[in-house]
Amino acid sequence: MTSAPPEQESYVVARAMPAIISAPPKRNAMMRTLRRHPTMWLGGTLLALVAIMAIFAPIISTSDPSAMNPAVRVQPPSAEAWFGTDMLGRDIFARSVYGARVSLIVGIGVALFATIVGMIIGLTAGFVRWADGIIMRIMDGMMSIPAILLAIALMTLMRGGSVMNVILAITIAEIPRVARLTRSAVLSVRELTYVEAAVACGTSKLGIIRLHILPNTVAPITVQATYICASAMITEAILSFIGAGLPTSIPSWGNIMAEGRALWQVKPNIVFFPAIFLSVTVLAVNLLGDGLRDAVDPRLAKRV
Amino acid sequence: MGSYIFRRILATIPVVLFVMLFVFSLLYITPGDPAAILAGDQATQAEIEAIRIDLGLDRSFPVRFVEWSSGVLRGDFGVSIFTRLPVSTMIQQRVEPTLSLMVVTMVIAITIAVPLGVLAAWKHGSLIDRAIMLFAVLGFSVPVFVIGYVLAWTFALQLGWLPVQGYTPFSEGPWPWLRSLLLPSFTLATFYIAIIARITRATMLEILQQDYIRTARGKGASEQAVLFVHALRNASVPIVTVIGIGITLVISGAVVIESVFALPGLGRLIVDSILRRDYPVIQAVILIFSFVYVIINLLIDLSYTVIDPRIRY
Amino acid sequence: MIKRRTLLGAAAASPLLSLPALGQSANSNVLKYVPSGNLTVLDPIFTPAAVSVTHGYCVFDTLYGVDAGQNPQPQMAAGHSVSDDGLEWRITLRDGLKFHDGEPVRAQDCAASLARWAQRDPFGQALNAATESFGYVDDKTIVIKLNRPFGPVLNAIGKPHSRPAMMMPERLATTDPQTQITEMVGSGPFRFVADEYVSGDRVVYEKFADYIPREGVAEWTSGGKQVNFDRLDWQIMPDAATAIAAIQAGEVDWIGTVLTDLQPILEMHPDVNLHRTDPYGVLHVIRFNHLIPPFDNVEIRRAVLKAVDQVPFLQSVAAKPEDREECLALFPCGTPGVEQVGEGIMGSLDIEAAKEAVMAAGYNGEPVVILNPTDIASIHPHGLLAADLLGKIGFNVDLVETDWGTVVQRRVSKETVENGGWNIAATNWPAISINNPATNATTRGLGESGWWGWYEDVEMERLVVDWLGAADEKAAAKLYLDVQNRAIDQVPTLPLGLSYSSGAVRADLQGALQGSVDMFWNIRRT
Repeated sequence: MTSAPPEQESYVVARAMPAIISAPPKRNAMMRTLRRHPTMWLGGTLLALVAIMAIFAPIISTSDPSAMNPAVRVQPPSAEAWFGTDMLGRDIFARSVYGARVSLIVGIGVALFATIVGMIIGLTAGFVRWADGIIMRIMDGMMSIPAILLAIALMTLMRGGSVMNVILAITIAEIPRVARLTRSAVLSVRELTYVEAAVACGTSKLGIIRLHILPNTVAPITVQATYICASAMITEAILSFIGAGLPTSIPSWGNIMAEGRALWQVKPNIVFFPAIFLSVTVLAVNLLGDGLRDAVDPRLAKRV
Repeated sequence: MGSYIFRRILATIPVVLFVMLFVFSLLYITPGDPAAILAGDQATQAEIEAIRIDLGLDRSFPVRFVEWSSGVLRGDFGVSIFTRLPVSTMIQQRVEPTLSLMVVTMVIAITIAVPLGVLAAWKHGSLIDRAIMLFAVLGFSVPVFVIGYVLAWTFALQLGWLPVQGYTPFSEGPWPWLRSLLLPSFTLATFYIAIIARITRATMLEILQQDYIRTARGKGASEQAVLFVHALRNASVPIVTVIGIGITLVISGAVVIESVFALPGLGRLIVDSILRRDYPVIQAVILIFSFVYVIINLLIDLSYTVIDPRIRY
Repeated sequence: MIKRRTLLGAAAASPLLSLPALGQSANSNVLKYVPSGNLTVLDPIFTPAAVSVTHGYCVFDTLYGVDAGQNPQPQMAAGHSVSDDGLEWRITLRDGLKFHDGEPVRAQDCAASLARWAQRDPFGQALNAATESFGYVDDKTIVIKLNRPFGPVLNAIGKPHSRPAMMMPERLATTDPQTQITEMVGSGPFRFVADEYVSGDRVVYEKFADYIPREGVAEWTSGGKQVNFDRLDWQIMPDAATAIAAIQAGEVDWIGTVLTDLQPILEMHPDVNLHRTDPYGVLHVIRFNHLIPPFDNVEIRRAVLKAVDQVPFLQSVAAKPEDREECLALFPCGTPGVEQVGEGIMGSLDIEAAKEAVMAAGYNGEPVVILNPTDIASIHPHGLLAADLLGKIGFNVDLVETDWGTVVQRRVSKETVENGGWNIAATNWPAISINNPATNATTRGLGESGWWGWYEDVEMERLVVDWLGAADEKAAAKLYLDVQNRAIDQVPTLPLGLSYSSGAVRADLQGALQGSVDMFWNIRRT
């Protein structure tokens, strides 16, 4: 939310997010950082493990995550059900393993869609002077509505729970942030001397975007995308937790926790296990994001 | 300066107008019928229809939008479909807990996070730095309600130091008020501490490399003076920006935390209202949230000129 | 009382010292209650919601109440007389009844209240159909003129649940029945404190000083409503675990419902007792949409009925065996005159046999839409289990899971499923509200003007009218049984059995009553 002159805004964003404005890193430099950077390895490895769990969920889980048997409701962890059972007698271990699918699909889906759409909007705003005002006022308006509330309202609008609806609802709530970031990046890159020169030489707008803007924005936007991925996973869990997310017929970490929510004092296992899974996964994505950020921002990477 | 503030306030008008239209249209096309919810499980279609007409829900979009927005301009948010209480009354009843939660959370977060960030930057590369950064990453990886339950289990159920739930109004004394807010505020602050600490560390690191810091050190300024007078002051622009962004995050978090700790605030009011399609209440609360957001951002932009004399409007 | 006066005396003598003590004594005279849900609608005639009924019994009083055997007993009424042809009922009011605004309760007020109630409540509508007018002859005497005999007049106006006929001043009672009343002026034992009402957080009542309880022992909604607290303070807690923690800590006195899985904690707690208010429980059902295929076909409905095993449905909502009871009937087992007419029918087919029966009945594989609210804990598992069962016996199931607000909207649609209609939805009824042929919406055959699902059955409606006008108890009992048999034969709705819920009361409180909802008289602190 701001109508400050572009210089000031880009100044502020630049200072706030040191990763935004930077020359594209050289490939070998990146590899070097990667080797030197344990957090990226840790994050990547953890994430790979979660992905393996998601892909091989049918083999890993000991039973059908949706099979109900109310006769064995809220059992503590045992040899048959490693993490115990929920109120409908469903196996929490199987549900947690399958939950990895939902979290990853939602996280990656939102990161992808929000980034693409947000970049298009941000580029348009940064380049088409007359559209800038309108677009940014709309983005400001959407940003001024707390993301969770916007997502809850969109979920009820879309008649409730499918994975695609959850992705859409969270994406719409995330787009303004990407758009703003892209726009500030565009504005600051535009002022660089060689870009101004290219404009003066009469290079077409698309050419400038392709040659100068994209290479300079892809890196920071990629970093931003990993953070969006992490935050989308948490938002999905919160939506399900409030009861506005996925129905329990689709196991997700959020709705397993929602089921166990009322019983957390007596049956902490219902909330505990999916909470661990979710936290570790989000942590992995964040570590990966941090690693990436340091890799694309040599100034910071030098020092860590 | 004066004309800048005026332009900024003018610029907020289209934003708020957009939010009004957006929220209203969103709710208009959202499925779910408050009349059917109100009428109860036994209701026949005729009864539901009669209630819908009585509530004026059968009228067209433009008629309802004009009526609602002209009411809002006069400061009248209408009447709740369910309780038949004026929406303004319902909001007044709920403002205090949410506002208290926000303020206490901010105070806790800033007093913890900024020193942590400065410490991490100062000792950067050390074990302390790594520990702080690990905590920061954890802080925004663990979902807020999980932190809430862990804290409540430890400090309320096991140790019995703080109440499990509920809100004590400020009028019953500052200490009982603070006691009822400590757990939810700490829960909510975790995330916030993580962000502020990270941004503080990052900008401090950058600034500590600058020439004028070297000059200050060379002139024999004490380490505290270097850190807190020279460096932190110059680092405060991004920190303040992040604090501003964080306020919306606190509002989002309040929606969840108020349910976990049974605080009767605006967050719970709006979730309940969305689930039962109490349109006038939803519209009013979202409008207020976005208005607060706009104002806070305005204040933050203005604060730049105070913190950093290089910025002028 | 004496103790309190002593304290007040002490307060005068030494104001500083006695302040905390005074606070404490005021505190012990407050009853703190956590209702099962949020109170949003204050008008108990407008909505049948249990929490609004609970609130209604605080603020309002009824002409008749019921005793534990569900027999009507005079409450505001002193007595009644019936004309020889049974068509004119005269009810006289007790002396000294007052509304909370200080006005006396008059027969005019009651007649207007009955007239409004009879337009909203199903039992009332049945009475209304047999009624010429609700009138009065003088301030003390109400006259109900019927146009045909209606046996259970007193049962209707004394019904204890889902819109009991509560008496309001005439100026409120003349409100359109489709409009909520928000001004809370009744003649009940508690006065509503409007200033302190925060929807979603707290509801406050004060003892109504001018209330004159009847003589005699309080039982259900009848007898002497003796209030032993100055204030009644409802605290709404959306999180069940939070309420449990609060009563363990002594922060509240009474919670309306304890989740079945949380009951063991409180059973072990020395200072808290579980309390079952409603001994008749809740009847869980699955409703068919009778307007569209496949469940417009009675043979398909019968095939499903034969495949239903109630046990898993009951286990999913009640953890302990004593909290659930199989009931193979569409009327609540355990209430007078109900028999398990489904015995030998329900559960008689295994999965394979049921699959064949469904096919043989002419099911064409059309999609079956099951509406399931994700945010209603007592219904949600039944939608899932129904989807599971129907899938196993060969139906092409489309489980639609949304929030309650969307479910109730879609449920009124009479369209085909392609155009936004539905086939199946689960719900539940307090047993006490459907314990006779007239009030049981799940079996009434009113068609498109009736309950959602729109089951139409002329024969059933004939039986209901006959039952209402039955000459004697024996004839009524036989007709009631005919209705039960007709229902299990036509399967307008699937019965899933009864479950019982419990609340919890601090051990220092005695005299919590049984009833359709929690009631706050008779209970006292020891």
